Amino acid sequence: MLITIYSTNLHGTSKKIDYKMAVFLKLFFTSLEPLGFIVLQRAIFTTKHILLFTSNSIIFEKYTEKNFELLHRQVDNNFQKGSFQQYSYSDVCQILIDNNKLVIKFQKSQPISFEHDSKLYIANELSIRCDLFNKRFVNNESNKENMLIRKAIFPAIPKKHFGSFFENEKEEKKKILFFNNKTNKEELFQELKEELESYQKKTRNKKKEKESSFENGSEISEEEEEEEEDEEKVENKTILQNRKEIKLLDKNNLSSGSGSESGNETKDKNKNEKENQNDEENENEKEKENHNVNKKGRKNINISKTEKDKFKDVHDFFNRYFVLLTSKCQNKKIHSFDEYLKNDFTIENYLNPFCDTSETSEEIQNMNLENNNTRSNNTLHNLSLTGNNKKNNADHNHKDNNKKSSVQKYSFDEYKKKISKFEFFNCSFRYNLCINNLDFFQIKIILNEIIFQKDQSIFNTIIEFYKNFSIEGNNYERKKQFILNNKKKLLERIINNHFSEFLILLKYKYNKNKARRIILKIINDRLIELLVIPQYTKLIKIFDSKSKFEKEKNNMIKEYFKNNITQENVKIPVKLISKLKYKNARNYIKKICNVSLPIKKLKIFSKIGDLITQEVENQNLKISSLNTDAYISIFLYIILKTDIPNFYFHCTYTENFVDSAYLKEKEGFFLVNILTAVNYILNHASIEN
Amino acid sequence: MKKQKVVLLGKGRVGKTSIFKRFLQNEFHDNEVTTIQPQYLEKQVKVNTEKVTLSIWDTAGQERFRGLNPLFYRNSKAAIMVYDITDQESLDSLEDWLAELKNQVGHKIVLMIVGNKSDLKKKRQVSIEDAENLAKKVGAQHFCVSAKTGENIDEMFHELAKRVMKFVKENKTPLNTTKSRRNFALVNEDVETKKKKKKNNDGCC
Repeated sequence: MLITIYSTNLHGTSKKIDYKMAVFLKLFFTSLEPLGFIVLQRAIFTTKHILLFTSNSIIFEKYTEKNFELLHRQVDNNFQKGSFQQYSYSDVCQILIDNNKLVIKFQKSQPISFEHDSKLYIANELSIRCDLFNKRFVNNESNKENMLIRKAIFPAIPKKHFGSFFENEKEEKKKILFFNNKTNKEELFQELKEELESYQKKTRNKKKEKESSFENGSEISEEEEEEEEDEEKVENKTILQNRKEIKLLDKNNLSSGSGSESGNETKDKNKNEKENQNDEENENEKEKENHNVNKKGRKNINISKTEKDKFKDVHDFFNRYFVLLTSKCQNKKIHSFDEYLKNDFTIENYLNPFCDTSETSEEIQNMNLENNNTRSNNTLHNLSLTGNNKKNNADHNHKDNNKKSSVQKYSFDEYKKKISKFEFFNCSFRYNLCINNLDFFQIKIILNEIIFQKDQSIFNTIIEFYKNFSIEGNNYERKKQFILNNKKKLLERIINNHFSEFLILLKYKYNKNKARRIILKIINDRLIELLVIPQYTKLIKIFDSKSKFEKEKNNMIKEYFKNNITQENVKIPVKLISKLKYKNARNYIKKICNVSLPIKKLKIFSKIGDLITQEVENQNLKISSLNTDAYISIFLYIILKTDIPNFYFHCTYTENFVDSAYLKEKEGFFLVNILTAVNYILNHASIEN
Repeated sequence: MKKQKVVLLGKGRVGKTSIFKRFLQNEFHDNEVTTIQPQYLEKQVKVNTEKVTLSIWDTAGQERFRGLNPLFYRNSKAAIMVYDITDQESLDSLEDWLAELKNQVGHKIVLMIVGNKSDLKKKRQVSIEDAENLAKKVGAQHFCVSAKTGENIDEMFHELAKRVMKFVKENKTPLNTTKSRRNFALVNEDVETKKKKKKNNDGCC
């Protein structure tokens, strides 16, 4: 399932990047702009359309489910032809969701609606990383870009975990189909659990066999065991110790419900039954864990050998991966995803994935208790809850209701202060992306993957969004306040900019005509600065590129000069050149390259004409009057004597883009003389060639 | 009134620059000693209490630069075509000059045909009738002028200014007509293109 994504750089150059569908879907939830190399802000993947939100515009493309695999070709062709449908953000008026349809309203053209299907991308989220790591990043490590992206997207996970994931393509396809076909997520979760349990049994049996062989060969000192056991009992553990333990625990298969300190109190009935069945196994596991801690060096090596077998299953991988991330973020022991949901999950953890590491375990426990209270606040809780996990979170509500009486109430304001920043972040994520149904753990993963460092630039942009936009339901519009503020700013700007004009008005109170004239002059100058010059600069860019095409003509002038410059050939009057060398004019003509505006270029030409006349006047030569005949010949001499790059381009550029009113005057006269000189050279050169 | 561009045309050594200088600086030099100014100057002319500024361009007359002269003609409202009374060829070549000018500017231009060196009556080769016939043919006005004595020069420029004024005023109002003409031209083009397309389609089928 290949898809091509086109991203635009910060410099505006478009670039084609081949990603797997997985990456595509991943980008949907993320904004990679702060990373600096991609400006693709988000991509929405509906049942019939692909929507790419770049920093400048919205791009969308149709496809059918049957031809989904051929989509990348379609996109490719369209992009090459330039028939891609593109809209700039300035044209977009509003983005909203109506009856599961995403609607984009434009200021001028008619609105466009897209059918919105959230199941598709959520289901495929798991297959993302496998594709990505196996086929793109692992195989093509030499590509620097790929490495950069890998580092940016997947900083938390070491590469070795993904090396041998999904070795066969057939299995991969099957699994993708499996996820796609599932409509009810409850069923999906149940199946996942069943598969997990079956897999765990298999792995445990394997372990037992291996450990029996390993215990015979290994000897451990008793002193070390005692020391480390004491350490485990200490409540306030350091961060490093925690991490080490978590890593080791993670590398083992994750047992459901065992080993968690805070989670033993609150458990479902179903879970209790399962645990009763597996009590003996859990005890064995605890022993193994202790064993692992005791023999760090040796056991790590043994575990790495069995990694290939362990991570073949998608669900196990996902569970493991989730645990790794959450444990890293919160500096806690987390053994499985289900356990985390039941015991350790709090709103603050959810909203604040980057909670401080300095907190002791007691404090954390207290915080959890306090935060559990906040769940009773249904409004907030419902806001934070999202599609897939509503079921899981419903269980929490049941538990919390039983606990209400025993725990103190947490004041809403205090709570809000703490989480305000992250609340903003979460909500903006949802509204920015135009989604209602987002899995909270998905966000968590993405946050940790992409913005694992506390990147404030993202927060700032999101906060700005909240300042400028008002959100009502699923729609968001620009705030009225923002517009009013803008008006105020405008007024201030006008006062600042036109301060000098107000002064003039005051100065010439009694001579309004004079004041009017002066002000008009100032305004005209400003208008030219504001409106005309930037457009000229654009034109210059175009013409600079065009000048490359006119290289032949420029070269012709140069060659002709080198080979055939003689007074006889050019028929320059002898008196004018034998005594005068026009040094000033020749030096001055070189300034054309430095000047960009056509008006300035034209003024340089006129200045050259003046310099010529001055020089002739100073010598008091006895010559017939300075005709155009004489001027053209002198200009010829000057042009040919000074090697100016792209001189033909400078002449034609000024001729075409100077105001025609100038061409009637003195400056125009000299320009025409120079042009005739240039054309004369070109004609002669072409005849000789 | 805005500036109006006037171009001086004619064969080499006819006396364009001397007419130019006589009118603008009231100077004439038999052996041309150090009179150096750019061959472009402006002068205001009064016509019935209205003022017109004429920006006069002296063009190159020598043959080697003649092919490049069309660059000078752009945006010009009037042209003074100068011939030498003592040289028949100069009058004959005027038709070629005219053709060049009309290629660039079109038929909308004020024309003056001026015979210079009228003080050399003994050496006259060109008859006045021939010159006037040509002027009628072209739709121009004929003047006999001498740059040396300054005969008829001011009158000639005064008459030119009058005609330019008229010409500008006439062409101001029919701005809408030009638009309509443009539209008409576009329509014609469309019709032609459609016809061509039809023909092509027929050919294909």
